Amino acid sequence: MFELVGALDHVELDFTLWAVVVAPWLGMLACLRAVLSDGEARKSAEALARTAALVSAAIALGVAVYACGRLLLIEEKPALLLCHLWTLVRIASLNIELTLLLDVVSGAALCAVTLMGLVFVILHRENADLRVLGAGLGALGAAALGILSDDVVMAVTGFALTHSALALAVLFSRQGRGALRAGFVPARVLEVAALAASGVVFWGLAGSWAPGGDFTVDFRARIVGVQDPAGANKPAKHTQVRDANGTIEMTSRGGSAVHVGTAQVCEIDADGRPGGVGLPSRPCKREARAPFANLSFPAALHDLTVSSGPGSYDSRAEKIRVYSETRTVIASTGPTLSAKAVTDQLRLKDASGAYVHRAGLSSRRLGGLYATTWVAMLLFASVLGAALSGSREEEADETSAAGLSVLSTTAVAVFLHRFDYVFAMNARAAAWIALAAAGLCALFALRASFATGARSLMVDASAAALAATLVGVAAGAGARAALFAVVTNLGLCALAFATGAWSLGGQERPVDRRAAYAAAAIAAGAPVPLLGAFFPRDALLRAGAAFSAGSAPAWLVAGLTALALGVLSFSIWRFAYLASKSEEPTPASAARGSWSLGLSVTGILLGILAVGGPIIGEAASAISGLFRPAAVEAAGERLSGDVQLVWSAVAFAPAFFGFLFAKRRYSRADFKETEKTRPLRALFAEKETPSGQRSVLASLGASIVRMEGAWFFPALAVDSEGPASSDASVDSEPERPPVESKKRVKARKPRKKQS
Amino acid sequence: MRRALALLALFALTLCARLSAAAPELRLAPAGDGPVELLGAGGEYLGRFTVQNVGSEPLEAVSLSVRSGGELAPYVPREVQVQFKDGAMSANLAPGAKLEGVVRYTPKRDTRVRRFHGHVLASVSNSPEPTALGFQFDTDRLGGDPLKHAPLGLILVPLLVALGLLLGGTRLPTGAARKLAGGGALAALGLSIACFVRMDPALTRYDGGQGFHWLSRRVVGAGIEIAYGLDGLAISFAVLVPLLVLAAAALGRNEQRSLIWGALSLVQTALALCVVGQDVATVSAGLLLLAVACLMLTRSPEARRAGTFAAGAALVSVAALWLLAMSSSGLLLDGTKASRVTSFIELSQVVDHGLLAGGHPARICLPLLLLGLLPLLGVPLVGGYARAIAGRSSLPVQIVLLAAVSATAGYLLIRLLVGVMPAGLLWSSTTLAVIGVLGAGVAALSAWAQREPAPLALSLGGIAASLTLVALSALTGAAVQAALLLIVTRALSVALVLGGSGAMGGSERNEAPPQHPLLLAGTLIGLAGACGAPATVGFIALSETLIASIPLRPWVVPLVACAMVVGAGAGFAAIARALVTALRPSGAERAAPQLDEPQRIAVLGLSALIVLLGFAPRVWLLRVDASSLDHADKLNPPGLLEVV
Repeated sequence: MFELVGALDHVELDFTLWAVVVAPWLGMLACLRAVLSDGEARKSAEALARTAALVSAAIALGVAVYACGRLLLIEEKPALLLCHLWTLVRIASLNIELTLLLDVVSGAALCAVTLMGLVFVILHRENADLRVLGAGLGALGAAALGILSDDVVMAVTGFALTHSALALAVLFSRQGRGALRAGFVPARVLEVAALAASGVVFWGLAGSWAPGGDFTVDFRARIVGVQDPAGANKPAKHTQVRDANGTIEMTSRGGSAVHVGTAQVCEIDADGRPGGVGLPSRPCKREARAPFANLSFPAALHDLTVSSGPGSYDSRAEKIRVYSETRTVIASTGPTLSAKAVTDQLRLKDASGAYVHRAGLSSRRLGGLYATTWVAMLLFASVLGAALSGSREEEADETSAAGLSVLSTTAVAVFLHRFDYVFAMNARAAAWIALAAAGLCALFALRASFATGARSLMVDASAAALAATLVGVAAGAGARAALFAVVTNLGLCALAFATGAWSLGGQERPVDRRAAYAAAAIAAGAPVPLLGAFFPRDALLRAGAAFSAGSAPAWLVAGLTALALGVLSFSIWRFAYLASKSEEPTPASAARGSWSLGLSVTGILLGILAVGGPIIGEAASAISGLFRPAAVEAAGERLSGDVQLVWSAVAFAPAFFGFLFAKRRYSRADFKETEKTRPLRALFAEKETPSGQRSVLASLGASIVRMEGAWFFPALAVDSEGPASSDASVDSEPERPPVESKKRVKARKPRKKQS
Repeated sequence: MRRALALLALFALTLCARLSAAAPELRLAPAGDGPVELLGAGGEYLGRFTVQNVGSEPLEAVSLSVRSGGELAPYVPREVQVQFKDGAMSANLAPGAKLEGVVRYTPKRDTRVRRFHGHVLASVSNSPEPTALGFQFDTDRLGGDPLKHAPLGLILVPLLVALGLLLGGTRLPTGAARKLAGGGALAALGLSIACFVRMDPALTRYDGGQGFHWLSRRVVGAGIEIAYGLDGLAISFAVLVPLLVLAAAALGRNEQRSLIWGALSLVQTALALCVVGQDVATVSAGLLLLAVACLMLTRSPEARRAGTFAAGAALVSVAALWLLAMSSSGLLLDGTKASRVTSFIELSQVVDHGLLAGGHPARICLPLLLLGLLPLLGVPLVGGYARAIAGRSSLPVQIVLLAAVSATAGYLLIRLLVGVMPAGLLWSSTTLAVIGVLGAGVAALSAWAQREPAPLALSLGGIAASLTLVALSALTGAAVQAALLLIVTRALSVALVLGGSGAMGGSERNEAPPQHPLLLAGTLIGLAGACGAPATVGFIALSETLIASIPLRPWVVPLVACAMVVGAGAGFAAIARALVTALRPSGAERAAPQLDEPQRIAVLGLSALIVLLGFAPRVWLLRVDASSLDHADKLNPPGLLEVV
């Protein structure tokens, strides 16, 4: 009888994924070199940079497609590709690693963003500012890092780098003609909230908080052996398993060595065969260091020791039985920042069938609330930060660069998907967060419907899609919700590329109408059913309607989200129609259009892939399907076929009507914006700046600065009248000559006499 | 100045301490001079000593034992045993009788133990006070390690340079003083890097020597012990301090007076004393030297107050240290019972602290220590000190005082609070957390009032300094490491911003973003590091602080997170402003400023360090991990699992 069981994903090691991140950054460096060079060398450097940009983006896409293909061809399902690069921090259980992980959802997202990147480079290769091109490539690599990183800290690094690179792209494309408003503070909110959420999970897995606030550590084994009783954990077919041997796998704690008493676990043993153990007299040719998978290992009862090196105590796992022709996973339990390690340990059941670690985490309370409630709220805060951090600055030159604005939210959507277990454990928090996210979705969809340019539309529509993703994740349809964001963002990006430099109220440029309409159809999932965002939207809304046993809040969530996505559809089609009323495409813009059309077709393919059930399904979600309250299971069981059809209609109808309204209102050739829209626009437009708040902060800060400096700069103590202005700067104060007190002046006089 | 000298005289008086009388009846004597030396070969080391009854009454059941610091703070490895020569553990001694005892150490195979100091205790059944005799084991003394005097070298190299510059600097040609100071820093840097490379990252306190490499301890008289050595925490600062002094020399200008360079080398000596010194006397000497150097460096009327303030802060820290030493009693290396303890190693384990003002000495010493070190560290509300230095002093002085000195103050906080006064930190950690949260909030607000890079970097550095306190209050190994990361981040980013914005020499006040592209890039990277931008070491520091602070006081996290967000917002806005300004086409073409090679290398090096440590901090942290865990385990002993 197995002691701990769980259907853990099949892992294959990969050594190519790093190229998706690094290749665009190399292209960026080439652009940077060209920008910094001058004189005769500049021309050749520029040419080299443009070629390098194209090649690097193509490599990123190529590797992404290759990795996804390899993933889909693995017979064992569900499968993951794992590429461990290096460990940044390892002290006790706090482990920050650069480990790249590809599952089906992140694979779709990766293909989408690398495709966007390649099209962006092709469109901008010849004539764009190299700084914009470099910033775009930097954002592409960073988004890939955010999507692929298994470690939360590295994923957040990816978001932040993406945001910074996009902000630089805006800055460079504007040529310094105005202030940069890139939402730095909301971006930090996103990062801090995501880190805090992962921190609460980390410590929630380590122990519990007593009512008085003290933290008590769990006394549990940190290393366990896991098998699957259903036989799903059979060794991979290509593995060379010796007689009476099983296989072992360890994917956590990168760089750790495993010992069996005094023997080492080998990657290549003394005879040159994979797996086995090495004795002091016959050491391994190559010692196995985590992560490793599919290593042949003697079937017996073993006492294992995992050594992670200085800064970590060795972990012992006693009496781990390796069964013949069975895959045994050496899994880490307890605190971790790795999303995979968290989901793996939450799947573990003991002999009685109870979820061991899940039961622990779901009962932790922190300040009177469940820890999972805190995590859910922090995730909502991070979504809000992500939604507000996008730059809505409009510019006439490089509107197609606006398409890249969606890179950041695509990565965040995949990140949300990795936290879907939180909502499966706390139905009440899930319901409230879903409701709040639905409201957020509606708000940003409304903002998008009043967008005055491509960038506003991209940012607001993408934010609405991200909020809808949170609805889906909270409802238990994490994988499909993430796919919804991916497909919508891909469509939005295609729309931005198709409309080129067009801006409402600005200078009109040629637009490829067919490509724009195709892109809008993908992003809106309407008017044609079974296309683009149709399937994932359908799935997430049905999940929203089904979770919490179809209670009133759940129906409210689903209804509100459906309505919001209808408004989103309206805003996307409105933009497409308004943008398409420009001149007929010229040959140059036709070339652009063909690319955006290609992108649109790819989006359609991805949309079809997002069907879910037969091809990807909820098994793509790392955790859902394992917990009984998970919404998708409920959707399958509690919604009858007819009701499902009704909800499919509810999901499609608002989007269709959104398309119809947009077509009736904006497709007319003589349409012009009227005064009627302005009051509403004032509610949502970007005119209200936080200057008031900023000046309050600055005034408070200036007072502090004056107080701090009073003793060191005597002039400050004398000049204490009047309120500190917001522009008061401490550096103006030292200019004044120091005012000495009379006492000091008197004291100095006799000295002068003496001298 | 007169007040400071009076205070110094007061400290001198405290050195005249009494040594308590030894136990009257038993005498333990080594075979030779000093502590018993463990010598041997073939996998066994022996030290011999005699036990003599010097009283007039026979002593029954005289037993020998090795003084043990407990499971979590061991003095010596478990393999050390003591017994009488005949193998007995106890014996009866007639008056005047003498028996031989043996200390035996049988190391395990592949042991890491290279040195340790311990005490043999001889006790009589009816006597409460055992008699002690010290013993020591040192393979370096036997075999010879080329770096065994490296900690001393880190002190002597800058001291010699400082003396040379202060005594004969006026006769040097222009620029030679700067080169000499830079050369001294470079030599010290090379030495510290050699130590860094040769360190065994897996050495812990269980491996003897309290986890220190190249540890040297000796009693110099009057019950004062001198000790120096390097562990994972100290080695970080042993590298950082000469690096920053070198950067200061590189970014400074040739025409600056030789006195400045001599004083800067003196500061480097003082900081080296603080870093490698593991006793009250050495660290006090370092702090006193620092006080003198601060007064020398800030002789201009405008900066005098700041210099006096820094010197006063250093003296207050010295007072705190001596108060702690005077109120504790313990054993000297040779086994003499002393009425005060100056060794940090002994202080961290001594249990018989006397009362000070009716309470545990830490209750007085800790506030005093905070009063002395927090201003030097750069916490808010005394931020005027830093701005006065930044506004009134030359660039090298700014870098050394605001980056190197503040980093060393942070190191002393970790070393003294966590390593030397663990009991004090346990009850005061909430206070530290509150100070840290308030300080972070204040610094974040003051950051919004700053528009120029240098004052902004100092305000952001104030956030990092406050977060250091928050991290220290969390009492976990990861938090100790986070505190270290924050201190290093602050030092590197402040040095880079000050250097980047003030290196051209036109304006010492660092008002506007620099014109030179490299300086601009350096300034922006420095600001990004101070903001905790991803791909910089600041991001790792802030992430680790945030995560490590959750278990003990979850309420701290949202508060410091708000401060981090506000401060980082101000920092990023400044970066964006600087970029916009730099990209804006100007009407008149300005002559491109030129950088000399040392300046270029300094800016590039510091920038690269901030970025590289953001991507691969493990190269450095590998040496720090074991020390961080050792320190945290004194506060928060690990359970069966390695969570904390």
